[in-house]
Amino acid sequence: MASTIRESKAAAAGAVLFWLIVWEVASLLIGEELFLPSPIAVIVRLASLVPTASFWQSSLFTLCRILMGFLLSVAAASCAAVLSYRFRIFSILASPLVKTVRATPVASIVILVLVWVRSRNLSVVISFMMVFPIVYTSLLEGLRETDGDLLEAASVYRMTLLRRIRYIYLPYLSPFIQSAISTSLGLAWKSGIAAEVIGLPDGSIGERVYEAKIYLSTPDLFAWTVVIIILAFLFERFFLALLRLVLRRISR
Amino acid sequence: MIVRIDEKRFGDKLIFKDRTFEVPVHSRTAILGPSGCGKTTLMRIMAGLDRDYEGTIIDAPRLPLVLFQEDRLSERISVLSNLLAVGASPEDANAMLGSLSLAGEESSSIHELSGGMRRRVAIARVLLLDSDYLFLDEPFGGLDDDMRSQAASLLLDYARNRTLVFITHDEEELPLLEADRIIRIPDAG
Repeated sequence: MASTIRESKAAAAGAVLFWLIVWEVASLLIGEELFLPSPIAVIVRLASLVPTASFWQSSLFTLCRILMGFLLSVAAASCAAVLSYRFRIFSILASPLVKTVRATPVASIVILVLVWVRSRNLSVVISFMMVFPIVYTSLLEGLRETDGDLLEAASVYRMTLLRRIRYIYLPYLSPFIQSAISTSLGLAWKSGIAAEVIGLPDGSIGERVYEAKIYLSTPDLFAWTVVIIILAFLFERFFLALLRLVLRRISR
Repeated sequence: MIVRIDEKRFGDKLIFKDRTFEVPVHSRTAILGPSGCGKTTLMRIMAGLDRDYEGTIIDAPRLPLVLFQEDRLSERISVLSNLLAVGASPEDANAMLGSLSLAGEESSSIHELSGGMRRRVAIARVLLLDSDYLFLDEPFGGLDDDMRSQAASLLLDYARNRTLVFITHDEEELPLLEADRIIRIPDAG
């Protein structure tokens, strides 16, 4: 088992190395940093960004807002999913709204939301709106697939609502929650940054990405993109680990 | 309890028509009949789980306990958690598992257990709760002879000063729970 895990980690590291080499070779062949900077140039640029205060300020600015939008959305979508599960009328009313938000391009929503809120809070609203349909749909599906026989037994055995949540619903919903968080967290980052690039709030990662485009500083663009990928990856790992821990403790 | 069923149907299929069943307080009543004759349906009506019929129940049981034919255990949590879920204390749950020869299985997942072990967990869960009426649907499914006797002894202890109704298709099971009344259902309708 341990050797299988080691092998798969080695394979993943090998795949990353392979693509870094492909990137380096492609960059050498193109020979123009504006079109494709080499991985080394990006790492050098990143290394020069990391010690600066503005790097951490921008990262924190964006991180806090995307995280806030994500958490608020998970909370709201969970409540809405429970209401839809419990009351059919709520489900019927929510359905077109959720489908519309899901199908509307991020850029259209960003421009509309910019009319309503200040650009500083744009990424909160956008990540909220992008995460909501995913978490809502996934949780509602999980709730509807919860074993009806088990729920009837819970009623006969006079299980309290809290115990039903802890011993029936949460274990059943666990895979749905994990999948929803995994998918929606990545989308929260993508849409949140896209919103910042359009709305240009002062001191955000989106603004840095936009500046990189304006000044044709492709290494900067790549360096900030690497930062976004790392932050998104770390947060996905953190939330999934936290979720697994909570679910394990609850259903032990 | 007196159950009068004027009519019970599943779609076009008539299950019961103009039937009356009596279950005296503190009796041990067996519902006996072949598979598919409507035993479970009758038990669900008696226990108040099926209200889709024409008829009445006089002195209907309040908050009856039911051991379902299917074990209805939560597959994704441990054996012990399945018992804690109904509000049992860890001490009582462990003692009950011990008395059904399930000591050491507390942290096992339900899907790791054999059919007989799962049945015993389901029985343990019912025995940890309190009610004046206990309904058992094929309580010994999947149990070997020793385990049947062991489970029957615990169920009989529990049923003392309570009303017990149990379903079986096997006449040999009648003495196990010391049935003092038998409702025979030959076939549907």
